Amino acid sequence: MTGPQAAALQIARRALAQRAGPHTGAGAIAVAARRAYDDLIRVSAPLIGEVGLEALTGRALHLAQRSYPWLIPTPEPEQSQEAFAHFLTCLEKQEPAVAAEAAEAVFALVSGLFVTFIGDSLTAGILKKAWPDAFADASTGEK
Amino acid sequence: MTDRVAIRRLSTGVPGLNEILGGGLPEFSFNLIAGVPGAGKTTLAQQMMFALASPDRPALYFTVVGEPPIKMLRYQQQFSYFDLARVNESVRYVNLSQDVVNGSLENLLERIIREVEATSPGVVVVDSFRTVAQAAGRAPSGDLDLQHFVQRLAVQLTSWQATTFLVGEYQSSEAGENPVFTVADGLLWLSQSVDRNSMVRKMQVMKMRGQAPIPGLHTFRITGDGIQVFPRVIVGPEEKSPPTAAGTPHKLRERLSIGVKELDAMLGGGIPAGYSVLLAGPSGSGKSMLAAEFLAEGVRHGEPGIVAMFEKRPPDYSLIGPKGRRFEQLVQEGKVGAIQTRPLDLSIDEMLYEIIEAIHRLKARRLVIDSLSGFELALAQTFREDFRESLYRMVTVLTGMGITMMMTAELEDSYSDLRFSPHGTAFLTDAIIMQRYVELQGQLRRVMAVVKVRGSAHSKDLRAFDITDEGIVIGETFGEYEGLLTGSPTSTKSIGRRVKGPAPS
Repeated sequence: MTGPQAAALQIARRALAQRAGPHTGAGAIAVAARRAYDDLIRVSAPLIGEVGLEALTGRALHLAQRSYPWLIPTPEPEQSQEAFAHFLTCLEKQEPAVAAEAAEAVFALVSGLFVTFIGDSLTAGILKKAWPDAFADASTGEK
Repeated sequence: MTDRVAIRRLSTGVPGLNEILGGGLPEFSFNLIAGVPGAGKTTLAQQMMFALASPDRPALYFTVVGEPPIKMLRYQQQFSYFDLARVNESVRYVNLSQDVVNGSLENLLERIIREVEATSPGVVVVDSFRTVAQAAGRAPSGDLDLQHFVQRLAVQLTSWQATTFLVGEYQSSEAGENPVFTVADGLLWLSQSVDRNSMVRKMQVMKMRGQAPIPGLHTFRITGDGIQVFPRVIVGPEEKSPPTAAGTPHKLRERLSIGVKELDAMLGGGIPAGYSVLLAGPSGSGKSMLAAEFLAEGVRHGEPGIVAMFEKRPPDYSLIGPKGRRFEQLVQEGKVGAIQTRPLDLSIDEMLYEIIEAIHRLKARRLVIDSLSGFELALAQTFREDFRESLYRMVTVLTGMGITMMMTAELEDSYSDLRFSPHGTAFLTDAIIMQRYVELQGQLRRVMAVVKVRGSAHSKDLRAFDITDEGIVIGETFGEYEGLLTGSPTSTKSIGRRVKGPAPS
């Protein structure tokens, strides 16, 4: 795993943890993932459009299937909004640890795709605005 | 004090654009940037947006279905004007794709106004507005039509003191029937044409209310720094008035030494300042060397010069004669500016822009174009077709600035006709120096003559010259021969018999 991938995973982990709170079940992780995704839509949609984010998410879910074969694609992959809802349904059926790992991986893949297309700087700007709590934790951690 | 409203003109941040707009972009104007796909519309809009946006008056860039925003952001980052640190600060992107797909024009207008009210932008861009116009065609009955939408948009954005750009793909045939063309205060039309292997981009300010843009098509280039426009230089009646050089003006009737004493004498005391000189001759006759002498002589008199090279490079001048090495040194020291050009897609205005920029930078008074044939080849095909007209504009503008210019022209030695330029441009120049090869007594000799110096007496002699360690050395006349230029010289000295020189093959 490269440095940027590890960093993206860590940011996703913090964002999900903040949104899950004290709850640790797979259902709570799915709810946290939904909230994190909504925050991402709110910030990134003005910049790249909701359709743009949904397309990247669809691609990230496809890539995640290599590590998590239980992420069965939806019948219509272009319906990425539904694809994410389907992903959440899949998450709820997993063991909490597996669900958490998969959710982190998907968000890390999404942010990796952001970097691929629009670069580090704009991606960092989006993530910091969408998940400020993840970065606040990071800066505290660094101290 | 005046009752008239003063329109502030904004600097667009696009080199050359302010000039063709007539001094900048009118503040609060409502503009359309139109053209074919790939013409550079989005690049132009983004470059102006980054230049005009400020933290107090940010820019709002509405992206509508067209180029996917993620790709637009990806590609636009490659330009140096795209400042990542300003994105979401003084430059804000708002994607309206869903609003266009889902909503009516009424709703779309409300959304735009809502964003404008929340941001109070100084600059608003809608890219692509063509998509909005297409959505108007699908609008349910009772919804706004395109004309009312455009009018209300223009009123709202102007009221909010925003300078607006609508970006759209349009064909020139649509200009008469589309309401947006009527409502817009400014209309910038971008086009690109491919002719053989060259591609030329052109921009036209079709209208700009409240000011006088420079008419006609202006070439522009897109580089890593964005768009640069090369305003079309128009020759006005004042251009041939007494010289007003970028540096110190030459005194009227002042003569400049060409760097070869005997040739100065042949010219009647040097070249009159502000004259254009055509130096014509066959390959290897010493044109580039004489041109280098002309510039080096200028430096000796504290007059920087410029050489626009189309065939050679500065190191090549070290090969052209014994003083060449020194010439290269003059270039390295910045006393002579060297302009080297991209071949095949050059426009005359781009060349002129570079030359004028170098003239101002170096305060140059002398210019060499080496050579006209190379210059013509470097131009895009479309500009080669009106080379004479282009050259006329260039010579008139530069000599009007007080620049004394020398243009070399390669001519094949022809012993059946006497021409001075393959371009039929000899009449444009104020003076002509001709170099030829002649064969005399079994030797190939170089000869030189001054053909014309406008408004001045000059030598009519045909003089031999050599290229020596001291440079160009003018030698004797050939008084004892006649018919040198025919290739069949005859000796007039022989008594009782006329010695016929061998005719070249």
